[in-house]
Amino acid sequence: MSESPRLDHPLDLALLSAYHDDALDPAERQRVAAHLAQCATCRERLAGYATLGGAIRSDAAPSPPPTLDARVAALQRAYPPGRRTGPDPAAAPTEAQAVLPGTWPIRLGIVAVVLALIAARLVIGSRPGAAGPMVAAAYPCARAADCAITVRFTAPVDRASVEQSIRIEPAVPLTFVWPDDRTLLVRPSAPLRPSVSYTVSLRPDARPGRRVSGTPVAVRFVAAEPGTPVVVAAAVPPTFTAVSPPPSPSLLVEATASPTAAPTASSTAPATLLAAVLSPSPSPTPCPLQPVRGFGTLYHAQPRVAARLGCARMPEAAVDTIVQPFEHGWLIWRADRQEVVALTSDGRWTTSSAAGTGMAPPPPGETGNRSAESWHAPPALQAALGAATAPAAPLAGAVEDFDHGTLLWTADRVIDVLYADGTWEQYPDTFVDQAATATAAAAPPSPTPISPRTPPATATAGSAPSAPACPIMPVRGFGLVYRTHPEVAAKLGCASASEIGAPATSQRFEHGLMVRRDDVRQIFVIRDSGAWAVYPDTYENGEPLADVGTPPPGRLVPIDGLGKLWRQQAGLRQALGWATAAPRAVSGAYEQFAAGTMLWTSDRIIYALYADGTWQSFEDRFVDATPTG
Amino acid sequence: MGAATLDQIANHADAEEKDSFTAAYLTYRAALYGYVRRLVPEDADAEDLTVVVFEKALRAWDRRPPASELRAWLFRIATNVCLDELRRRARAQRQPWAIIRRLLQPAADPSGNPEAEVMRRETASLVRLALARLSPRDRAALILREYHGLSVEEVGRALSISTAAAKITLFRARERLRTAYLDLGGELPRDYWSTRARPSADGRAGPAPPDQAETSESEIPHE
Repeated sequence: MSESPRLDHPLDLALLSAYHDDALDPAERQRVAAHLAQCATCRERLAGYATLGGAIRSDAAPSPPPTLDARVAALQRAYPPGRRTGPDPAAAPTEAQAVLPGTWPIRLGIVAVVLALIAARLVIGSRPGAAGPMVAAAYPCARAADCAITVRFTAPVDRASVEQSIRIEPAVPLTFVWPDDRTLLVRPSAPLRPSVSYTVSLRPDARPGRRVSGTPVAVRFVAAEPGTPVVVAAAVPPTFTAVSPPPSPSLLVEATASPTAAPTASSTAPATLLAAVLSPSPSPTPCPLQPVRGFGTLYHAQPRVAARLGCARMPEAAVDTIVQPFEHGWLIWRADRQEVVALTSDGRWTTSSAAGTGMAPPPPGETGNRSAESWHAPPALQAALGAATAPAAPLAGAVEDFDHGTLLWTADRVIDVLYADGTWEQYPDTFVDQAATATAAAAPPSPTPISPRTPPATATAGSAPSAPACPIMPVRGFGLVYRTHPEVAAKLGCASASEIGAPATSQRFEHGLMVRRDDVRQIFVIRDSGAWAVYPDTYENGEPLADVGTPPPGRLVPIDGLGKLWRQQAGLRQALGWATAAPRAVSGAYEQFAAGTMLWTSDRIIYALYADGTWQSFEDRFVDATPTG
Repeated sequence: MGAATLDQIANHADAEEKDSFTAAYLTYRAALYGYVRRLVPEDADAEDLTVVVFEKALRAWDRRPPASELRAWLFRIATNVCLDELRRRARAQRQPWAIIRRLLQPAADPSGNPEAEVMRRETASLVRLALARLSPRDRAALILREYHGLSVEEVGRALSISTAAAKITLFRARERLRTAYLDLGGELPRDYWSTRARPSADGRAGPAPPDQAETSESEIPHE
């Protein structure tokens, strides 16, 4: 579909790749840009690079498994400061390559096949270099309700022989579960006695000839006394800390049930005990995983919430949501679970899957619908919620599961706390990005609960005192400008939707800028004179464009959609002048407000485009905490 | 209980130092796991290898580079760990035992699978297949640059090569990816500037152009 550029082609293709990577100096860049304007083959090649790069970016890798945190936490114990001066692991690949001659022929013949059939009965690991399966890691359970010590092997192992090799002292009946051939869950099937030290070991000598060797790992846990009255038995989770390896190579897993001093049988003892540990003192908390950002702020400022939730089971994860407020509650769609969460003002919450109903968010065309009926809510729930107080809005969200509940954040800066006992609370998100604190040095107020009975419409006050209380608050770079420039916020009014990211094409002119939003094909014309306008992009692929003469040296004629608009609007052409640079593919973000639009491009400029036809621009000072952005 | 208390004291003492590692872990955990997962495609192995990456980083934590170079340093460790692992596997594949096993278990041919056929048409899946045909090094370079957004200079650092060499590596990797993608039946747009998304059916109109006079100004005829 593409001919290769001819040999006498004046441009080294490697330059195109570097152009795509934005790794050229200005002169080279200019040269490539000028050449691109004339060379269709090069544009095609560049389009290919962009498409392939985009496809790589769009193919998101799965998030890390929840067990990773516990394993790395265990590492930190194993390598305390002072033992962290090993050789630089980044220095060079760690191994010289002694590759076997690749000529072991496939014609090994019948003998080999017979050998294989015999050997196939022995389950041997596929990881080469190891004498046999080894223990890759042993780590404690992630949740209290279903507690087991997990042992991972480097390769599939013979289950029966491993089970026979496991010992626990003092003796307690154990059950074994094998999620797969490489993972063993060791579960005490009777309660462990308080104050007794248990040692679980895998004895290599238990079955000669089937040695399972491995890294010794010790796991110790500190459990609060279970069985206190009142709260559900598992209300206070045992929490685990891994400790550094003991010297004995045969010792594999040590489990010490050392309940904290048996609390006097006060009903609140376990909760206060845990709360004391979780208070934001420098003392280490017993949870292997700590919530961060907004969740962390709430969790540490509200010991009661932390005590009720228990430990985090996973790091927070991004989730798409659709949120609609009602007179007496909220409906929230969680795209990750494909379920609707209903929060009602009696302080109870439920989900569509728990209730067995077919609730779903209203289709995009009907988000303005003012009743819970469009969510297919059951009649009783519709009655409980009352009428909608705002249209359903798609919002970015985040979710983190805990032992006894879930924290759910939505971009309207509200954190819903969903307790496992079916009750909920709501808190404002007071977390301020570091970038924001640098400019707006306002200490975040300690979060106070919003009464679930407060009409939801008032429950969304943002954290910035100067910003108007809007149902949707801009975030990130837009949010920073919005919060730090009250006059901009006042002119724009409330956001009518969350920001949308989409690719854009940007081209600089003598007296202004054109930015085309590629997804909906709108062209923003931003003039240096202080006026702006938006036009539809009506260009059809391959459409011939009028000849407008030769530009002066160093100036370019715009092409495609930008060029068509520029040719059609004579006034605009005069106002903008000639293009001073080739069009560039950039990233863009857009957010619609009651009286204007905010526009961001990856040149890190934010434009506030007001409905009165004027605009202002701001440097984007937002610093993204995520490295991959 | 006694042991736990000792533990707590020890923790308290190194809380500050630990924090720098914890912060780095929390910041880069998803990125590094994703990177390893793309280079070494089996799920369970990716987790094990990610632990190895952090273990190596932790062991040398006192020698880590300044914060501005930390990301490239971590990716460099991850690259070394993954490329080592893949080399080890490649070597194992050449051992008679593995050859026999492959003979006994021929890989499933996806061509007869209609579901796979549907997946094939999707650009991202095709690109994933095409990426799998590249050398691990080319794959690493492209993923670092395109997915993780490392600069060319950082890519060079992660691959232990110069910036100039990284430019060339990226260019060759791109060309190989393009060839593999086209071989697999993928399609690429013809022109960088003119092939863009069609307007969406429900594309919202932006604010009306403020100066109607200009809008209504007569179109210049196509000369």
